[in-house]
Amino acid sequence: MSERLVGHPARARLFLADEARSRFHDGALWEIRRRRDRRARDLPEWQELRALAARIKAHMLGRLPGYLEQFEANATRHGAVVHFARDAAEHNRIVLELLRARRITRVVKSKSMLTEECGLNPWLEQHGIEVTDTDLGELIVQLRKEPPSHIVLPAIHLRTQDVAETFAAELAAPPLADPVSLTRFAREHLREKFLAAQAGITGVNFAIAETGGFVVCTNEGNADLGTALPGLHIACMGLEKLVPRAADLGVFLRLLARSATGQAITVYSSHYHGPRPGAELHIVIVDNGRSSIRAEPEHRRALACIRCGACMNTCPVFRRSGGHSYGTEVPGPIGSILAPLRQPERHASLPHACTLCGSCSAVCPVGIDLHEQLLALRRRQVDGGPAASAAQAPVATRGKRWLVALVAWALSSPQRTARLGAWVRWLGRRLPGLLRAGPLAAWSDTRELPPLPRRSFQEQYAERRARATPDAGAQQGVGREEPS
Amino acid sequence: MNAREALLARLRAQRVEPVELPALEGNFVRYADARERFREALGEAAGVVVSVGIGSTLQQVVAGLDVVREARRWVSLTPEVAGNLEAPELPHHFRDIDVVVVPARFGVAENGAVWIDGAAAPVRAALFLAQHLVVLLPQGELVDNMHQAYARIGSTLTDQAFGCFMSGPSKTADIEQALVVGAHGARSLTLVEY
Repeated sequence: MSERLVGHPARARLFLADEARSRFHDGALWEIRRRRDRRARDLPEWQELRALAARIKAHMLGRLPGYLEQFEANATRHGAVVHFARDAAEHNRIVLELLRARRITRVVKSKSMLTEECGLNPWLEQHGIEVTDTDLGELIVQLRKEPPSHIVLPAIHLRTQDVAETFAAELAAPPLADPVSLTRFAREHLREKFLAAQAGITGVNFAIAETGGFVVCTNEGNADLGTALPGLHIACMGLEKLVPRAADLGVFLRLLARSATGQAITVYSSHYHGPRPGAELHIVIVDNGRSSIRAEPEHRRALACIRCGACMNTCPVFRRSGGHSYGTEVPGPIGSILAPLRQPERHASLPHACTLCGSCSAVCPVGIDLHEQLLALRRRQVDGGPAASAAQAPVATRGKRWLVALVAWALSSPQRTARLGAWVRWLGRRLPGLLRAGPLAAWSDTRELPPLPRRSFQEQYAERRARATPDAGAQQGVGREEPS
Repeated sequence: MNAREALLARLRAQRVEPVELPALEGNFVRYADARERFREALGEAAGVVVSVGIGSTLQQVVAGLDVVREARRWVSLTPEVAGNLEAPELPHHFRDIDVVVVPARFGVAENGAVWIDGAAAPVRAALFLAQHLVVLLPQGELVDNMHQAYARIGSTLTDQAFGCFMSGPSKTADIEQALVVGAHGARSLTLVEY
């Protein structure tokens, strides 16, 4: 049965095989969701902030080319060098050239989903450059040669024992059994990396058009150490990270950490305007498919995402199936929109990794209509929108369309309806067995058909009416048929 | 056509309906007792608040802090307090410093953050590489929320290459969601009100 599963369901099954782990994952993320709720309730203006954030981002996306030029001019004025990259390959080439020109071989990187998206680490390693991920969670997954499973909590799929084993195997750590000693060990290990680094690469949380500066938010202080010591700072950002004014940060910094981890603000919100004295600052602005999403009115709002991860923490599918089940660098509800927009065929299963419960849209700090967009992507698979193809629409979805047409025809006449009813009741009693063995086995594996009665409502009604005395009929009404 | 021109041309060719930029006005949270809220928020972020009482000086209070008494090397970035060593000039040299004393411009009541920029910490490594931080905040230098904070920073934001809202010591919960204070940056943050 399981060999029929492809895409998200197949990968989810791998994670669910370890039930204790899956339960821990579910519970840990739900606790973060609850902390987020408490923080949101602290602020009477929470909904007002969400609305402001959505409008600021919508405005920015409308005037994106102008703001990009403004940002570039202001950043340059402060002494930064701004580069543009159309795609991941161009981004990677720019970064490599910057490092090579300075004969740099040791780089520290702080968490950046963009560099994950571009596959920067393997590319630099291929060219003889040592890249150390310095966020603790990122370091753990890097040592395990795994991708992060969550954009804010990269190692949330792992337990303490896993980390202890990884540190022992990869860093020759002594046997350590608790999070505190493991974190202390990583601190000492990474301090040496920070002190020896020749360049620091960071992501960007927000870039400010009117000042040419940008903000990086962390709790660990890794981005700060990575940029305070080496002589070169390379900041990589998607072009949607812009906000028009510095004052807009008031809105976004209030929303980000509260939504992400339930903190009132991250420990460090660092603002960079130009390089340190005697050092260099380069900013790489990347498109890599973002401009195509901007061109789609139905999905443009997805570019407002500030990568807080709240949609993942609340998603009943994500909490149970784990981030790796999505097979994308950004998983969860927002990832299930962004990835299929870029590669519809490869990620065709993702819009279906959703119950349409709408919880993601309810918590999104920038008001993205996530579940509506997921539904729209399913519709596109069926109707063949701009990015759909026949191969993409799953067999079940196409079958459903025929079935709906057939049922509509049957229901348009009472005789046909009665015959259809009899047929369905007959079939219903035999179907579960057929489904489990047939081509729909994957679908029926986790679903149970309700028991169907032997006779239709009309038949039962006629029979009771014939049998009933006037008194009894009034008292009993129409009884419910026991399932057969 | 280079990447920049190609990208800008592509974006310009797209039709995107304009949305007006909203004014940042709202009924944003204010606190009857901003000082109390600030202490509470910084406490939640694992920071410690100490006040300079009547009859003691700032120097005495700082020198009497546990982290300072236990420090072999401690430096101050402000003339208001004297450390037992001059602050290093090279970023990497802060690796050997146990405590750095740094003045903050103001604090934010809603989240316990303080604003520290390059004017206070010319070598920014001081804030992240030293083991412990002592932050000095003059009494009354508080705003209620982040909107007021940015209004207060105003055009000084671009005067310095670096500025940071800092709320408590560095921390992580990346291993099984267990909160550990002292990830890569400062292992403790003591705020001294004076």
